[in-house]
Order: sequence, then structure tokens, then C-alpha cells
Amino acid sequence: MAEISAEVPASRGSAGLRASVLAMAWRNLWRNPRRTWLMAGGIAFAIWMLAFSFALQKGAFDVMADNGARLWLGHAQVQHPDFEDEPLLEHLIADVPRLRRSVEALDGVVAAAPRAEATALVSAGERSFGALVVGVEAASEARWSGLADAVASGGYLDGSGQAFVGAAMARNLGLSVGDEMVMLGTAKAGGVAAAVAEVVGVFSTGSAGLDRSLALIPIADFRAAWNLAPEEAHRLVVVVDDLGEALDTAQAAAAAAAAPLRVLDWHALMPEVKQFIDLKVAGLYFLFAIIAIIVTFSVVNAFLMTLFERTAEFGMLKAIGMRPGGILGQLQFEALLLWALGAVVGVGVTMGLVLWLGAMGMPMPIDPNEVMPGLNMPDRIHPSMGWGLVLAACLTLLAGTQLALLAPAVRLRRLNCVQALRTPE
Amino acid sequence: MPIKLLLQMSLRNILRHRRRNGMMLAAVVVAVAAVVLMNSMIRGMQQDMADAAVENLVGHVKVLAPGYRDDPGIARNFALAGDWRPPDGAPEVAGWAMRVRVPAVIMSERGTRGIQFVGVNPAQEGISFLSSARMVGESLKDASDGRIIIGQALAEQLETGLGRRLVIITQGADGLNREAGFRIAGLYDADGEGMEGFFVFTGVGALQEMVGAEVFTELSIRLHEEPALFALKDALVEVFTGLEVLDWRELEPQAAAMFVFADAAVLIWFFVMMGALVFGLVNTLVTSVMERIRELGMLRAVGMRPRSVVAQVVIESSALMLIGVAVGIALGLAAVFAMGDGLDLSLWSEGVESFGMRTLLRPVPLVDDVLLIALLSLGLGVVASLYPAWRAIKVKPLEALRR
Repeated sequence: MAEISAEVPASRGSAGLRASVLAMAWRNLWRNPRRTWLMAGGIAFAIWMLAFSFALQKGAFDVMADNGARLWLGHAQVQHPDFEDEPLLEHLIADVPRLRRSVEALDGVVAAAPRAEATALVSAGERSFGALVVGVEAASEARWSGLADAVASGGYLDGSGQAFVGAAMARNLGLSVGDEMVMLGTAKAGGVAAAVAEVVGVFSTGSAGLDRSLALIPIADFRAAWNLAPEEAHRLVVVVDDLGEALDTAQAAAAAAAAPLRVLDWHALMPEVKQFIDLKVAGLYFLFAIIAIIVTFSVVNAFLMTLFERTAEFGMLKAIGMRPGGILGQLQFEALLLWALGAVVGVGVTMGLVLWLGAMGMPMPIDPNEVMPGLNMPDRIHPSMGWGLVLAACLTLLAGTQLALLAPAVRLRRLNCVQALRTPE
Repeated sequence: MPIKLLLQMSLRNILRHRRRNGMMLAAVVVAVAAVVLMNSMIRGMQQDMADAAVENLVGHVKVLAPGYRDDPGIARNFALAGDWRPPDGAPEVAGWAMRVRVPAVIMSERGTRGIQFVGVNPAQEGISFLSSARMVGESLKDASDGRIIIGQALAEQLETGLGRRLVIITQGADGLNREAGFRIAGLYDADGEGMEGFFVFTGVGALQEMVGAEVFTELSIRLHEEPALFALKDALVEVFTGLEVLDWRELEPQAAAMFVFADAAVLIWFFVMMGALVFGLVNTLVTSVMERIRELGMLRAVGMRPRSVVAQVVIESSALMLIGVAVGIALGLAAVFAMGDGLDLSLWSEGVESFGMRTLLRPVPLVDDVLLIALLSLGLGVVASLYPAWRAIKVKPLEALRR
């Protein structure tokens, strides 16, 4: 195979030289197609594994976070600065209509809805339970709220004097649609807050916390009973069309309002969902790190074999004056091309799968909402590419394949031309 | 061809390329060690979820009145003698607790919350998290202690503290609401904040007095070992006719389903790792076969059967895997023991708690799993050697000798 190296033209410029070294590296790769495909396959597998698992998880997690947010808490909220840590009735946003106007004027905001809430004793007949009574603007929330879609019986709020309660609470209180319930609490400035409402609907979300403790009433009724002014509320719930921009949008919203307010995005509102996602991604990184190590070992091995088979060739190159660095450079080009081949296949297969499954969705083997209610997992996953991670995976393996040349490099340096030339090919 | 000779030849072939096979071995070791470690972590997670489910007032088996699960309240009760013991012939149990557990409303000057009010006999609660939870103040003295223990989180929500009085409202056995004041004896600190905000404890006698009936709503039994579960259930079903006897998997379907998930995760990890490994393994074996074409041709020419050639390659691959698996398992287990105290997941505490785990993850290696990993890896070694073996028997003696 020495004739290949003999083609190196000494007279051309360095660009031409590089081009021919590249051409030579490519030709060398195909001297042993089986091995090249096996190694490229390993690299492709590693990239595919990371990119595709991440695409699946991203597909699941985006929906999970979005469903979770749309169910109840929203993508972001604007609150009184102390309300999140100390949910007291007095921690109010003073002028909600103005804040709301400025939020709704922002790009990407789908809806902004005020809520007022307090813990109260809810009774029906002789039974009483503690509950979180929330005043909502039904007309606005019905358009996006997952609760409005989780109706188990009856319907959503559509007028004054109504209540929409969780299934577990309804069961505990012995309530069904059409029954009357009484709410008792402490109003602003210390008086007694009392309200009577007719249950118009019961919701069942699968999240024990919501189903057990939540009762919705129209916000006007809440303000009347709890003695709030018509422009006061505890939260402004913001729904956006792009999950990733929720925080920026909400912050722009708060900046628009004059009063000091606190903005929470879905990471802060649903830390368990955010952390669940982070934990899964950390696990994925660990898996990828191990696979990258295994694949790098295999590539080292492949280059050692190459070196062994081409000892005579390298000995000859050295004998006619090529430095070990030059030979190593040639091997580096080979490694680069091998990596590129693997990366193209890996990314290509992943993209194909993502496009295919992204369109039709991949059904989950078991209904995830039975397993982890409250995390709002979708029942079909539509994978979506996470390009940042694909790039990171490719670069990691590029580093791995180049590092894999360290062992052959040491051997090359020690190569004795005379002995090497005597090696049978 | 005698097996002994085949073995000898295969081993010598491995030793001919020490560096190459050493490298391959290193890859096998890393893969197997990582699978063992990950497997132990997943099992640890699983164990954790099961323990948490069992400790969280559930126990391994629980006896409830019919309908209690749908409509938990004092109306769904049953009577039980104070000196009840598990029936003769039932498996040995770690302990049992008779409780009254009813929904209630708790009020301080600063707030109102819905809670589960649980009457317990402190002497029996060695089986639940209550005995091991960190406690500020005092525990309950006995079953007739009329003070309460509440969670730290609830105390913060209600802005109250040790020694203060809280009002609790719950439904009595006659269907009418009862209201009574209780003094806080202690604050408990459980692993999950959800529990702290939800369970309030008092003496079971005091709660029975409040609701006006000497009955219980649940009997919770904990075993020394999970496998005795079904025998215990059977024994209890005979004693408690007309009552529901449920195990923790039925009571905590979420934790039980996570078990199934974890079982699948173990296999997925294995196949992904081995998938990465197989490319290098096949490459190594094929190269080793191709280098020996002349030799194989010669062996065939002097009468070696194709069968023996295949055996030689398979043995070579299996031997590599065997050593790799042995070292890999040892290394993986060493990593597990080095991690003895557990992996701190507190960075993700809320995410972790939301599916019933603790923040300290302690890996649990299982003998069965390690054996399964070993067997599957060896099986994979055989599968990976099939293509190289097929290449080896395709060699025509005459052509090979001419090379």
C-alpha cells in the first residue's frame, strides 16, 4: 500500500498538500470498510443514543411542563412580593386591571387571569373540611385551564353563586352537582367571610392535592365575601405560547407594572416538575459519558490494529523522511473523517426517527398518569430535537476519537524504520 | 477435536494480542461496571419507594372497613379488642398498629388547614415513620395522651409552635361535628414535606373519646420481610370477614407502578451499554480472525472441522467476556460499596420526593440482578462472535494457503 503515500506531492502549496492528505485519509479509511463501518457505527450509536433519548424526553417533558402549567398554575405568575412564601390574605396586588392590561399587551402572552384565594372551612350538611377557596375569572380561565377540561360531572363555572370543586373534596363532603356548600373564613380586616354556593361541577385531575383541597368560585363572589376591592387580587396567572420564554415574558410584565411585584415562572411554581426533568437529564449525561468511554476504547483499539497492519508503510514513510508528527497528522485526518461519518449517520438516523415519530407520536407502553399523577405526562410522545445537546454529543466524541490516537502516537515515535520495513504486510 | 485443545488454542490467540484484547477487556469492564452500578442505584431507588410507601402509615398490609378508601371517615369503622394479636399460623410480623384516622380541620389564630387526624398508640408505632422522625418537644406518652404532634411544615403554615393550643373540628360517630382544643406536645420532621403538612397525631384513646366511639378505622401490619406478604394476607382474610384486607401495592398503586418502571429501566440500561460495546467487540474478533486466515486455512487443510473453527472463535469471545464480566462486576460492586453512605440527591429534592423517594439514594446490589447481567453479557459475547465465526468458516483452505 506504499504507493498511496508516494503520491504526496512535495511541490504543491500547503493547501493542496492538506487536500491530498485528506484524500489519502479518506482512501485509507476504505482499505478496511468493515472496520470503518463498525467504528463509525459505534460513534453513530453513541450520538443516536444521546440525541434520541433526549429528543424523546424533551418531547415528553415539554408537554409535561406545559400541561402542568396549563392545568392550574400557569406558565408564570405575578404576585405580591411576599405572597409565595407567606400566602396571607393581605398580600395583595393593588391594581390588577392595570397590570393585566400591560401583560396582555406583551408579545407571546395568550392570557392573563387574576385570582384571589384564602383557606376556608367548607361545609355541606353536617360535614366540614378545610379547603383552598379560589376566586377565578371563569370566562378567561375556561379558555386555557386544564381544570375546566377535567370535569368529572356537571360543568365549569359560568355565573355568580356557583362553585367548582375537586372530586376528593366532593366525596369527603358528600357533595354532588346541584348541592349547596357553605364557605367560612376570615375576611380582610378581620371580619368573618361567608359565602354560599351551588356546586355546578366536580373536577378530577389525578393530582391528589388539587382534587382534595381546591374549590373554585367566581372572583366577584370571592371579593364580596372576603371584603376585597374590585381591583385587588393575589396572583395574575400568565399563559404564554412559548414555554421557554415564560420567565422573560413575565419579567417584562412586572417591569411594566409600577409597584414592586414578584414574578415566578414555571420552574419556581412547579419545582418538582423542573427537578424531575433535571434529574432525568443528569441520568442521561451519565449514561452518555459511559458510552463515550466505551466507544473511545473501541476506536483506540481500531487504530492500534490499523497501526499494526500498516507498520511497514509507516516505517517506509519514516525512512523517506516523514516525521512522526506528519504520520500522526495523517491518522488524525483519518480519525476526523471516521468521526464525521459516524456523526452524519448518528444525527441522520436520529433526525429521521424524530421527524417520523414527531409527526405521529409514540404511544407510551403504560398510561403514565396512573403512575405519576400530578406530573402530567403525555400519553403519546412527540420527540423534538435538542440541537444543543446533539452538538455537545458530537464534540465529545470528536474529542474522544482524537484522544484515541494517543496510544498509536506513542508507538509511532518508537517505530524503528529498519525493523518496520521488514514486517510482512 | 478435544475441548481442552480448543480452549488452549483460543486462550493463546487472546494472549497473542495483549494490547488489543486488553483494550477490549477495558471496554467490557467499564460497560459491566457501569451497568452493575446503575442497576444497584435503580434498585436502591425502588427499595426506597417501597419503604417510604410502607412506612408512610401504610404498613405491608392494612385492614380497613369496606368503603373507607372512597369515603374516609369515622362512619367506616370496625371494633377490635385492645389486646388483638395476629392469628396463630400467620407469618411472624414486625409489629402492628391500630389507629383511628379521620379527616379534620385544624385552626390557629392565623390560619385554617385541612388535615388527616390520626389517633395512635405510641407503643405500637415502631412500625411507622413516626418512631424515627426527628422530633422537637415531646412525643405522645400513651394511647390516652390528649395532646397533639404536628409537622414542622404545618406549624409554619399555621404560625404556631410548641405548647400552643389549636382547635380541631371533625365529624363524630353520630354524624355531628365535634370541636375540641388540643395542646401541641411536639413537632415532627418527616422526609417529605407533604406528610408534615398533612398528618396530625394524638393518642388513639383521646380521639376515640372525641368522636364518641371505641372503634378503629385501620389496622396496619408490618412484616420483617416482604415475601411473607401473601401468606399474611391470606391469614388475615380468614379472621376479618367483611373487612377489606389490602397490601401496600393496592394501597399505593403509584409506588407499585414505579416498581414496574424500574424493572424495565434495568434492562434498558443493559442493552444500551452492550449496544455500544458490540461494535468494538465484533471489530476485535473479526480482525483477529482475518489475521489468522492462513493459519485457519492450514488447520482446515489438515482436517479441522468447521464446527471446531466456530467453537474456537466462540470460546475466544466468551473468554474475553468472562474475564471482562468478572472484573466489571467486581469493580461495579466496589463502586457501590464506596458509595455506601448514598448519593445526595437533595439538589432535586422536590422532584425526588414527588415520586416518593428519599433525597439520599443508597445503591442496593441484588445477587439475582448481578447474575442476570453476567448471563446476558456472556450471551451477548456468543452472539457477537457469530459473524466473525461465520467469516472464519467461509475461508477456503486452498485460497487461504495461497495468500
